[in-house]
Amino acid sequence: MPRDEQEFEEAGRINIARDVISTIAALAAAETPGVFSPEGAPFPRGPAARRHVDTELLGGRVRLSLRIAVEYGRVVPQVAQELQEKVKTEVERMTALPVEAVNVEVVRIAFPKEAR
Amino acid sequence: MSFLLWAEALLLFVAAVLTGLGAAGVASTAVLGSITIPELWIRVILGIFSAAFLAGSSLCLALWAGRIERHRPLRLPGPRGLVLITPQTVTQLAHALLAQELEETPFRIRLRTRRDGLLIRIFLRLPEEARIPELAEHLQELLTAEVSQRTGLKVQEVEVVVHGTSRRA
Repeated sequence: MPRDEQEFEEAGRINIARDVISTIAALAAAETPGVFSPEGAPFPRGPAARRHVDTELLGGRVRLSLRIAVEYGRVVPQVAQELQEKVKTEVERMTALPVEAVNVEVVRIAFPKEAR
Repeated sequence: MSFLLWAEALLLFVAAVLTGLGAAGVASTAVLGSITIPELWIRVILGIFSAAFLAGSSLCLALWAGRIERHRPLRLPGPRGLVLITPQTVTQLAHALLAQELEETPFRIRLRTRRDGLLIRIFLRLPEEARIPELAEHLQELLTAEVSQRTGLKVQEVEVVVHGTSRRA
């Protein structure tokens, strides 16, 4: 059973909730060019984006899964890899937890004209 | 929809088992009005019903499995994790590319995933002034190159099915 938070116990206790990790990942997604929400709208910032991010904590390691749409005209694997890189960097930088994997599921193509 | 197919398969399987048990358990003749049905005939009739239910159950399971397979994302392993691309994404991309090419011409796309790559089927009406060989070749080249380049997935085959013409009589 995955735990909801990760603890550090060196000079004191620090708990990091899974929701915090999800929010960091979602913010990274919102800042990645070509990444849209699965509905084809701009990727939301803040807690609303957490429903597109699943975070698992397994033995102090983080495994993330994101569901996204990719903007029409972009190279899908390239956008996904940029997103993986950005999410991994941001989560590791802000939480000091090692990120084992960032899985990205591209569920549709976003046409920015539709989103407006 | 997938759940309904699964439930139907289960119900038909239960019906097949019950009628099969019924067939095995028949111990006497049946009388319907003035007709007497021998035990063997009752067993045969129930056996046929049981087999039909079992076939229906298998068909529903096969349809369910096919539907799951069609919606299963295509996997691209990468150094930071998996990249999964849903068939819907590929279909949308192919649709957008074709819409630019064919403009007003109506068309449909069907996508199938195979072990060795994607199979894209395009169903369209022949646009005015177009010739089938040139148009088909152009669309095949366009989709093979663009879909592969933009998704990283191998396009094994592009089939063009012309099912009518837009030319006025």
